[in-house]
Amino acid sequence: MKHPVHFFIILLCLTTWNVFAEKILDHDVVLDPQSGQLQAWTSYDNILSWSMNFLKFCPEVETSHGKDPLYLVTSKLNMDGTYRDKQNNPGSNVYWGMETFKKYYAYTGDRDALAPVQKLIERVAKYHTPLDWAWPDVPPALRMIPRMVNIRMNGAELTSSVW
Amino acid sequence: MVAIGYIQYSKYCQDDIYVHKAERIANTIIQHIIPGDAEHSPLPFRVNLKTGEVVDPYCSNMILAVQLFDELLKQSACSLDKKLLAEKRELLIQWILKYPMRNHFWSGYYEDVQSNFDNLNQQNPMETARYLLNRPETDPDYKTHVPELIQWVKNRFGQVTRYGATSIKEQDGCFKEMSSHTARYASVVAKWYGVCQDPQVREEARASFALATYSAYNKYSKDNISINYTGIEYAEPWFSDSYWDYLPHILDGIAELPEMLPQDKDHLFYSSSTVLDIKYDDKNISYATADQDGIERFKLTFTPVVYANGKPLDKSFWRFGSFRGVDNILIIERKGINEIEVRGEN
Repeated sequence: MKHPVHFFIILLCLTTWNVFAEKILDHDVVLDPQSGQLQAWTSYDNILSWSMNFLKFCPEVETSHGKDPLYLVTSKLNMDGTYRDKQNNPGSNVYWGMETFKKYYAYTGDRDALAPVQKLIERVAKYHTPLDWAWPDVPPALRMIPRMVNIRMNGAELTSSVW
Repeated sequence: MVAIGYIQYSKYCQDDIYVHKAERIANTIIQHIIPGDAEHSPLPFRVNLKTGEVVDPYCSNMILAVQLFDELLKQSACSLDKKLLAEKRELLIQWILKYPMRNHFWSGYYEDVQSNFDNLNQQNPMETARYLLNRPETDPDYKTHVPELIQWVKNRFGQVTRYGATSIKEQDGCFKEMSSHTARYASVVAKWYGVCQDPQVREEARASFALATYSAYNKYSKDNISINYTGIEYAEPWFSDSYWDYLPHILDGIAELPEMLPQDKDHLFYSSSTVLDIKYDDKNISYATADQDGIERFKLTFTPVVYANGKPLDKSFWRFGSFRGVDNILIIERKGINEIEVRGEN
């Protein structure tokens, strides 16, 4: 190289780019070079399929039902996607899960995307209120009626069952 | 919400058992509907299901019950009194238009907060706006109400912008920017763009969608399996906010803003019906819908010919060209047909 100093300047720019690049959460901010408008950091197709992959291959925990995907037993996760004990909200997930599947299936033809919400629906459908209650045969919110499952991790009970 | 999910699921599993389960939920709900007023919604937000004691009497999210009754009214397998269903549906609509649409008391959705009356949120007004855009015949003033709802949410929950993109917070009780709500807002704004055709509205939606991508595929993700933060101000993922109440809004956005589509893939990106079966092959897409009449939009990598029942479909029912500035878009308008094949032109 005729001008090694140029090489080192370029190398310095390249290596420091990531240090000084602006970020939103974990991703470098992408702006349109002409307009300066904010752009998606990756394609929307990637967002959709990678997110669906997490649901399809969701981590499991052992419960009184056997091995359950985490979406059957908790509403919230740790940042690394591991189990976190939090009140479940399966009712809204049933609705939004079907909204997701209906649109995602038409968009991709991926029928396997039904499995997570199918499991959720079949579980929720088992636990309607008794027929002699004031509001009979409806799925309960779990704040009023405690967990439908035992969760066991490392052999220890984390929550108790009422059903 | 569960009952609507059951009905949607029944369309794919071909089992009326879930329609009947939804019917029984609706039957219970109907027994508890009251006329309502400014402080009491027709259905309460929170009750003791065993005793019937009302714990929180106000919930502005009545549009979900309206949706449920809409679905049941369409179901031939439903044995409920459809006249009664239609009357209760109308009661709910009139209550929405008389109270929260005017006083903007949009509270009562999130179940993990104590009392909801003073805790307003963006979810209920945006989902009400989405319904009005999908069913404009419901409200003769929807072209006034929808932009009012968008503006109300932006003023109350969207004061923060990031690189020009409106970022939406969830509720007064958890006043944090979250991608599901930013994407929800963007999807309603995009749908409104489909009506008003205002380029500023389009840019508002596009920018918020772009912002909403940044919570996906966090630093713990790998192998194309995405762990998604809830949002800029809330790290821990939720199955709702990070996935199921996030992804459909992106798909709704793609339906209205075809610039969000990739250039190199074939996609059905909008259907007015439910697509029950679809197969993507090389230069060939075949699909079946729940309804005989409907509209589909595709982004294609090939020049298509459309077939119905094995024969070429008259060209008056489809066109291929530009849609909202994006090329290679196929639009099919079906009448009395629910099985279509799109083939590459020889």
